[in-house]
Amino acid sequence: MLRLQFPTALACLLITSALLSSVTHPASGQSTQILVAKQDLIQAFESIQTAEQQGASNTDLLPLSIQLNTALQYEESAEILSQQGNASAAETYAVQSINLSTQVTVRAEALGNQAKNSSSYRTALAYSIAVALALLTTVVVLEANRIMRTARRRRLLKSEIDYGKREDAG
Amino acid sequence: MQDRLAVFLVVFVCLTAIFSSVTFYIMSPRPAQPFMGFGVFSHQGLQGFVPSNMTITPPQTFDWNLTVTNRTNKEQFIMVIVRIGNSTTSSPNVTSPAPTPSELGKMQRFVSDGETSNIDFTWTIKSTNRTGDLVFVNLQINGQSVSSGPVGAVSGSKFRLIFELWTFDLASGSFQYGYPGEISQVGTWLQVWFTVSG
Repeated sequence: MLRLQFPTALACLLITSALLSSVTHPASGQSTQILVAKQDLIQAFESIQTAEQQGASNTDLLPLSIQLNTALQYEESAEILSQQGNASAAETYAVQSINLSTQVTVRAEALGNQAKNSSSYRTALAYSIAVALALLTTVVVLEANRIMRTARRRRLLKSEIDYGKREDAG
Repeated sequence: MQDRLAVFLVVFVCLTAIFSSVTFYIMSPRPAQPFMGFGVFSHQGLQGFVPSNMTITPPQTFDWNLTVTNRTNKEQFIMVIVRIGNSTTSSPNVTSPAPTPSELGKMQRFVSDGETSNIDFTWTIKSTNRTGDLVFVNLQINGQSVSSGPVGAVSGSKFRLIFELWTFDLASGSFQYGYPGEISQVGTWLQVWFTVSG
Protein backbone atom coordinates (compact mmCIF):
# COMPACT_ATOMS: atom_id res chain seq x y z
CA MET A 1 0.00 0.00 0.00
CA LEU A 2 2.80 2.39 1.01
CA ARG A 3 4.69 1.59 -2.20
CA LEU A 4 1.72 2.79 -4.24
CA GLN A 5 1.10 5.93 -2.13
CA PHE A 6 4.62 7.30 -2.34
CA PRO A 7 4.81 7.55 -6.19
CA THR A 8 1.31 9.02 -6.25
CA ALA A 9 2.26 11.65 -3.71
CA LEU A 10 5.44 12.40 -5.61
CA ALA A 11 3.51 12.75 -8.87
CA CYS A 12 0.99 15.08 -7.18
CA LEU A 13 3.83 17.19 -5.81
CA LEU A 14 5.49 17.46 -9.24
CA ILE A 15 2.22 18.38 -10.98
CA THR A 16 1.44 21.01 -8.33
CA SER A 17 4.90 22.57 -8.58
CA ALA A 18 4.68 22.56 -12.41
CA LEU A 19 1.28 24.25 -12.26
CA LEU A 20 2.50 26.84 -9.77
CA SER A 21 5.56 27.63 -11.86
CA SER A 22 3.46 28.00 -15.02
CA VAL A 23 1.07 30.37 -13.23
CA THR A 24 3.88 32.55 -11.91
CA HIS A 25 5.96 32.29 -15.10
CA PRO A 26 5.40 35.78 -16.65
CA ALA A 27 6.38 37.69 -13.52
CA SER A 28 9.21 35.41 -12.49
CA GLY A 29 10.65 35.30 -16.04
CA GLN A 30 10.89 39.05 -16.16
CA SER A 31 12.42 39.38 -12.72
CA THR A 32 14.87 36.62 -13.64
CA GLN A 33 16.38 38.88 -16.32
CA ILE A 34 16.82 41.64 -13.74
CA LEU A 35 18.37 39.17 -11.31
CA VAL A 36 20.75 37.99 -14.03
CA ALA A 37 21.59 41.63 -14.81
CA LYS A 38 22.42 42.20 -11.12
CA GLN A 39 24.58 39.08 -10.94
CA ASP A 40 26.39 40.03 -14.16
CA LEU A 41 27.11 43.49 -12.76
CA ILE A 42 28.74 41.93 -9.70
CA GLN A 43 30.67 39.47 -11.88
CA ALA A 44 31.95 42.32 -14.07
CA PHE A 45 32.92 44.27 -10.95
CA GLU A 46 34.79 41.23 -9.62
CA SER A 47 36.63 40.77 -12.92
CA ILE A 48 37.74 44.43 -12.85
CA GLN A 49 39.11 43.97 -9.32
CA THR A 50 40.90 40.79 -10.42
CA ALA A 51 42.39 42.62 -13.42
CA GLU A 52 43.64 45.34 -11.03
CA GLN A 53 45.29 42.71 -8.85
CA GLN A 54 46.93 41.22 -11.94
CA GLY A 55 48.45 44.62 -12.69
CA ALA A 56 46.12 46.17 -15.28
CA SER A 57 46.47 49.95 -15.30
CA ASN A 58 43.78 52.38 -14.17
CA THR A 59 43.88 54.06 -17.58
CA ASP A 60 42.91 50.78 -19.25
CA LEU A 61 40.24 49.98 -16.68
CA LEU A 62 38.57 53.40 -16.52
CA PRO A 63 36.53 52.92 -19.74
CA LEU A 64 35.29 49.60 -18.34
CA SER A 65 34.14 51.31 -15.16
CA ILE A 66 32.26 53.91 -17.24
CA GLN A 67 30.66 51.09 -19.25
CA LEU A 68 29.72 49.31 -16.03
CA ASN A 69 28.00 52.45 -14.74
CA THR A 70 25.93 52.53 -17.94
CA ALA A 71 25.02 48.87 -17.35
CA LEU A 72 24.02 49.79 -13.79
CA GLN A 73 21.78 52.60 -15.10
CA TYR A 74 20.09 50.14 -17.47
CA GLU A 75 19.55 47.70 -14.63
CA GLU A 76 18.06 50.45 -12.42
CA SER A 77 15.78 51.54 -15.26
CA ALA A 78 14.69 47.92 -15.74
CA GLU A 79 13.85 47.68 -12.06
CA ILE A 80 11.81 50.90 -12.09
CA LEU A 81 9.94 49.83 -15.24
CA SER A 82 9.29 46.41 -13.73
CA GLN A 83 7.79 48.05 -10.63
CA GLN A 84 5.61 50.19 -12.91
CA GLY A 85 4.37 47.01 -14.64
CA ASN A 86 6.09 47.62 -17.99
CA ALA A 87 7.53 44.13 -18.34
CA SER A 88 8.72 44.25 -21.96
CA ALA A 89 10.60 47.55 -21.58
CA ALA A 90 12.09 46.27 -18.32
CA GLU A 91 13.32 43.16 -20.08
CA THR A 92 14.86 45.22 -22.90
CA TYR A 93 16.81 47.31 -20.40
CA ALA A 94 17.82 44.22 -18.41
CA VAL A 95 19.15 42.53 -21.56
CA GLN A 96 21.10 45.68 -22.50
CA SER A 97 22.59 45.70 -19.01
CA ILE A 98 23.51 42.00 -19.28
CA ASN A 99 25.19 42.56 -22.67
CA LEU A 100 27.25 45.49 -21.38
CA SER A 101 28.27 43.66 -18.19
CA THR A 102 29.33 40.62 -20.22
CA GLN A 103 31.43 42.82 -22.51
CA VAL A 104 33.08 44.39 -19.46
CA THR A 105 33.81 40.96 -17.93
CA VAL A 106 35.40 39.65 -21.15
CA ARG A 107 37.48 42.82 -21.65
CA ALA A 108 38.59 42.93 -17.98
CA GLU A 109 39.66 39.29 -18.09
CA ALA A 110 41.65 39.92 -21.28
CA LEU A 111 43.30 43.00 -19.76
CA GLY A 112 44.07 41.07 -16.57
CA ASN A 113 45.74 38.20 -18.43
CA GLN A 114 47.67 40.63 -20.62
CA ALA A 115 48.86 42.55 -17.55
CA LYS A 116 49.78 39.33 -15.74
CA ASN A 117 51.90 38.12 -18.67
CA SER A 118 53.68 41.43 -19.17
CA SER A 119 54.19 41.74 -15.42
CA SER A 120 55.87 38.29 -15.28
CA TYR A 121 58.04 39.24 -18.25
CA ARG A 122 59.02 42.57 -16.66
CA THR A 123 59.88 40.87 -13.37
CA ALA A 124 61.99 38.20 -15.09
CA LEU A 125 63.77 40.85 -17.17
CA ALA A 126 64.45 43.10 -14.17
CA TYR A 127 65.96 40.28 -12.07
CA SER A 128 68.00 39.01 -15.06
CA ILE A 129 69.45 42.52 -15.48
CA ALA A 130 70.20 42.58 -11.73
CA VAL A 131 72.10 39.25 -11.92
CA ALA A 132 73.95 40.33 -15.09
CA LEU A 133 74.97 43.60 -13.43
CA ALA A 134 76.15 41.68 -10.36
CA LEU A 135 78.28 39.42 -12.57
CA LEU A 136 79.75 42.37 -14.46
CA THR A 137 80.51 44.25 -11.25
CA THR A 138 82.17 41.17 -9.74
CA VAL A 139 84.43 40.81 -12.78
CA VAL A 140 85.25 44.53 -12.72
CA VAL A 141 86.01 44.50 -8.97
CA LEU A 142 88.16 41.34 -8.98
CA GLU A 143 89.94 41.91 -12.24
CA ALA A 144 90.44 45.67 -11.89
CA ASN A 145 94.23 45.35 -11.63
CA ARG A 146 94.50 43.10 -14.66
CA ILE A 147 92.19 45.35 -16.68
CA MET A 148 94.24 48.41 -15.78
CA ARG A 149 97.49 46.64 -16.60
CA THR A 150 96.15 45.54 -19.99
CA ALA A 151 94.93 49.04 -20.71
CA ARG A 152 98.34 50.52 -19.80
CA ARG A 153 100.12 47.97 -22.00
CA ARG A 154 97.86 48.79 -24.94
CA ARG A 155 98.51 52.47 -24.47
CA LEU A 156 102.24 51.78 -24.48
CA LEU A 157 102.01 49.68 -27.63
CA LYS A 158 100.09 52.36 -29.45
CA SER A 159 102.47 55.18 -28.56
CA GLU A 160 105.39 55.91 -30.97
CA ILE A 161 108.84 54.88 -29.85
CA ASP A 162 111.27 57.73 -29.70
CA TYR A 163 114.79 56.28 -30.20
CA GLY A 164 116.55 59.63 -29.93
CA LYS A 165 118.65 58.91 -33.12
CA ARG A 166 117.29 61.67 -35.39
CA GLU A 167 118.79 64.39 -33.25
CA ASP A 168 122.16 62.56 -33.23
CA ALA A 169 122.17 62.23 -37.04
CA GLY A 170 121.38 65.94 -37.45
CA MET B 1 93.01 28.98 -8.35
CA GLN B 2 90.45 27.58 -5.87
CA ASP B 3 90.89 30.65 -3.68
CA ARG B 4 90.19 32.93 -6.62
CA LEU B 5 87.02 30.99 -7.46
CA ALA B 6 85.83 31.13 -3.84
CA VAL B 7 86.43 34.90 -3.69
CA PHE B 8 84.65 35.31 -7.02
CA LEU B 9 81.62 33.34 -5.77
CA VAL B 10 81.40 35.22 -2.47
CA VAL B 11 81.58 38.63 -4.18
CA PHE B 12 79.12 37.55 -6.87
CA VAL B 13 76.57 36.23 -4.34
CA CYS B 14 76.84 39.41 -2.24
CA LEU B 15 76.44 41.69 -5.23
CA THR B 16 73.53 39.61 -6.57
CA ALA B 17 71.79 40.00 -3.21
CA ILE B 18 72.36 43.77 -3.25
CA PHE B 19 71.20 44.27 -6.85
CA SER B 20 68.17 41.98 -6.36
CA SER B 21 67.15 43.94 -3.25
CA VAL B 22 67.36 47.19 -5.17
CA THR B 23 65.26 45.65 -7.98
CA PHE B 24 62.68 44.42 -5.47
CA TYR B 25 62.48 47.89 -3.89
CA ILE B 26 62.07 49.59 -7.27
CA MET B 27 59.41 47.13 -8.44
CA SER B 28 57.36 47.05 -5.22
CA PRO B 29 54.28 49.27 -5.13
CA ARG B 30 54.59 52.24 -2.81
CA PRO B 31 52.70 51.77 0.48
CA ALA B 32 49.60 53.94 0.68
CA GLN B 33 46.81 54.16 3.23
CA PRO B 34 43.49 53.35 1.55
CA PHE B 35 40.74 55.92 1.99
CA MET B 36 37.56 57.18 0.44
CA GLY B 37 36.52 60.83 0.43
CA PHE B 38 32.88 61.81 0.61
CA GLY B 39 31.40 65.30 0.13
CA VAL B 40 28.16 67.16 -0.49
CA PHE B 41 28.37 70.20 -2.73
CA SER B 42 25.94 72.59 -4.31
CA HIS B 43 26.29 73.83 -7.87
CA GLN B 44 26.43 77.42 -6.61
CA GLY B 45 27.70 79.00 -3.44
CA LEU B 46 31.08 79.60 -1.93
CA GLN B 47 33.43 76.95 -3.30
CA GLY B 48 30.43 74.74 -3.87
CA PHE B 49 29.94 73.88 -0.21
CA VAL B 50 26.43 73.24 1.00
CA PRO B 51 25.49 75.67 3.78
CA SER B 52 24.38 73.99 6.97
CA ASN B 53 21.41 75.22 9.01
CA MET B 54 19.30 76.25 6.02
CA THR B 55 15.77 77.51 6.39
CA ILE B 56 13.54 76.13 3.68
CA THR B 57 10.14 77.40 2.64
CA PRO B 58 8.31 74.70 0.65
CA PRO B 59 8.22 74.11 -2.24
CA GLN B 60 11.94 74.55 -2.73
CA THR B 61 14.34 72.50 -4.88
CA PHE B 62 18.06 71.95 -4.34
CA ASP B 63 20.46 70.64 -6.93
CA TRP B 64 23.43 69.09 -5.16
CA ASN B 65 26.37 66.89 -6.03
CA LEU B 66 27.56 64.01 -3.90
CA THR B 67 31.23 63.41 -4.60
CA VAL B 68 32.94 60.12 -3.80
CA THR B 69 36.71 59.84 -4.16
CA ASN B 70 38.24 56.37 -4.29
CA ARG B 71 41.84 55.91 -3.13
CA THR B 72 41.60 52.30 -2.00
CA ASN B 73 43.82 50.91 -4.80
CA LYS B 74 40.88 49.00 -6.25
CA GLU B 75 37.57 49.54 -8.02
CA GLN B 76 34.66 50.11 -5.63
CA PHE B 77 30.93 49.55 -6.03
CA ILE B 78 29.47 52.19 -3.76
CA MET B 79 26.02 52.96 -2.45
CA VAL B 80 24.97 56.22 -0.81
CA ILE B 81 22.01 55.86 1.52
CA VAL B 82 20.07 59.04 2.25
CA ARG B 83 18.21 59.23 5.55
CA ILE B 84 16.27 61.91 7.33
CA GLY B 85 16.67 62.64 10.99
CA ASN B 86 15.86 65.22 13.63
CA SER B 87 17.80 66.45 16.63
CA THR B 88 16.95 63.37 18.68
CA THR B 89 17.53 60.55 16.16
CA SER B 90 20.78 58.71 16.68
CA SER B 91 23.57 59.51 14.23
CA PRO B 92 25.72 57.00 12.39
CA ASN B 93 29.27 56.59 13.64
CA VAL B 94 32.55 55.06 12.48
CA THR B 95 31.30 51.52 12.99
CA SER B 96 27.52 51.50 12.56
CA PRO B 97 24.96 53.22 10.35
CA ALA B 98 21.89 55.12 11.48
CA PRO B 99 18.66 53.21 12.25
CA THR B 100 16.89 51.96 9.11
CA PRO B 101 13.34 53.39 9.34
CA SER B 102 14.57 56.83 8.32
CA GLU B 103 15.81 55.76 4.86
CA LEU B 104 14.68 58.01 2.00
CA GLY B 105 16.60 56.57 -0.94
CA LYS B 106 19.83 55.12 -2.22
CA MET B 107 22.17 55.68 -5.15
CA GLN B 108 24.70 53.22 -6.53
CA ARG B 109 27.82 53.80 -8.61
CA PHE B 110 31.05 52.11 -9.67
CA VAL B 111 34.09 54.23 -8.84
CA SER B 112 37.54 53.44 -10.25
CA ASP B 113 40.66 53.71 -8.13
CA GLY B 114 41.98 57.27 -8.17
CA GLU B 115 38.72 58.68 -9.52
CA THR B 116 36.16 61.08 -8.09
CA SER B 117 32.58 60.33 -8.97
CA ASN B 118 29.88 63.01 -8.96
CA ILE B 119 26.38 61.81 -8.18
CA ASP B 120 23.50 64.17 -8.86
CA PHE B 121 21.25 64.69 -5.88
CA THR B 122 18.20 66.79 -6.64
CA TRP B 123 15.73 67.13 -3.82
CA THR B 124 12.63 69.16 -3.18
CA ILE B 125 10.68 69.83 -0.04
CA LYS B 126 7.21 69.83 -1.55
CA SER B 127 5.02 70.33 1.50
CA THR B 128 4.63 69.70 5.19
CA ASN B 129 1.90 68.04 7.19
CA ARG B 130 1.31 68.46 10.86
CA THR B 131 0.22 65.66 13.17
CA GLY B 132 -0.24 66.97 16.68
CA ASP B 133 2.95 68.80 17.66
CA LEU B 134 5.03 67.08 15.03
CA VAL B 135 5.72 68.33 11.51
CA PHE B 136 6.46 65.82 8.74
CA VAL B 137 7.87 66.77 5.35
CA ASN B 138 6.99 65.44 1.92
CA LEU B 139 10.01 65.30 -0.31
CA GLN B 140 10.99 64.39 -3.82
CA ILE B 141 14.45 62.86 -4.23
CA ASN B 142 15.79 62.40 -7.76
CA GLY B 143 12.24 62.31 -9.07
CA GLN B 144 10.82 59.92 -6.48
CA SER B 145 8.31 61.07 -3.89
CA VAL B 146 9.00 60.12 -0.27
CA SER B 147 7.82 61.18 3.15
CA SER B 148 9.91 61.91 6.22
CA GLY B 149 7.58 59.69 8.29
CA PRO B 150 8.07 58.26 10.87
CA VAL B 151 10.63 61.01 11.48
CA GLY B 152 9.06 64.32 12.39
CA ALA B 153 10.15 67.43 14.24
CA VAL B 154 8.45 69.86 16.57
CA SER B 155 7.48 73.00 14.67
CA GLY B 156 10.53 75.22 14.24
CA SER B 157 12.93 72.40 15.11
CA LYS B 158 15.56 71.10 12.80
CA PHE B 159 15.61 68.20 10.40
CA ARG B 160 18.77 66.80 8.93
CA LEU B 161 19.65 64.85 5.82
CA ILE B 162 22.13 62.07 6.57
CA PHE B 163 24.29 60.59 3.82
CA GLU B 164 26.02 57.27 4.46
CA LEU B 165 28.67 55.70 2.26
CA TRP B 166 28.43 51.92 1.78
CA THR B 167 30.70 49.70 -0.33
CA PHE B 168 30.06 46.30 -1.87
CA ASP B 169 31.94 43.43 -0.26
CA LEU B 170 32.53 40.53 -2.66
CA ALA B 171 33.22 38.06 0.14
CA SER B 172 29.80 38.52 1.76
CA GLY B 173 28.01 39.45 -1.49
CA SER B 174 26.37 42.49 0.12
CA PHE B 175 26.91 46.17 0.78
CA GLN B 176 28.76 47.00 3.99
CA TYR B 177 28.67 50.32 5.82
CA GLY B 178 31.81 52.40 5.17
CA TYR B 179 34.80 51.49 3.07
CA PRO B 180 37.47 48.80 3.53
CA GLY B 181 40.27 50.28 5.63
CA GLU B 182 43.59 48.71 6.56
CA ILE B 183 42.13 46.68 9.41
CA SER B 184 38.34 46.96 9.21
CA GLN B 185 35.50 48.90 7.56
CA VAL B 186 35.67 52.64 8.14
CA GLY B 187 32.24 54.24 8.46
CA THR B 188 31.80 57.53 6.59
CA TRP B 189 28.79 59.81 6.78
CA LEU B 190 27.71 63.42 6.36
CA GLN B 191 24.76 65.48 7.48
CA VAL B 192 23.11 68.75 6.52
CA TRP B 193 20.75 70.46 8.95
CA PHE B 194 17.69 72.40 7.83
CA THR B 195 14.59 74.01 9.27
CA VAL B 196 11.27 74.02 7.47
CA SER B 197 9.27 77.21 7.78
CA GLY B 198 5.67 77.91 6.90
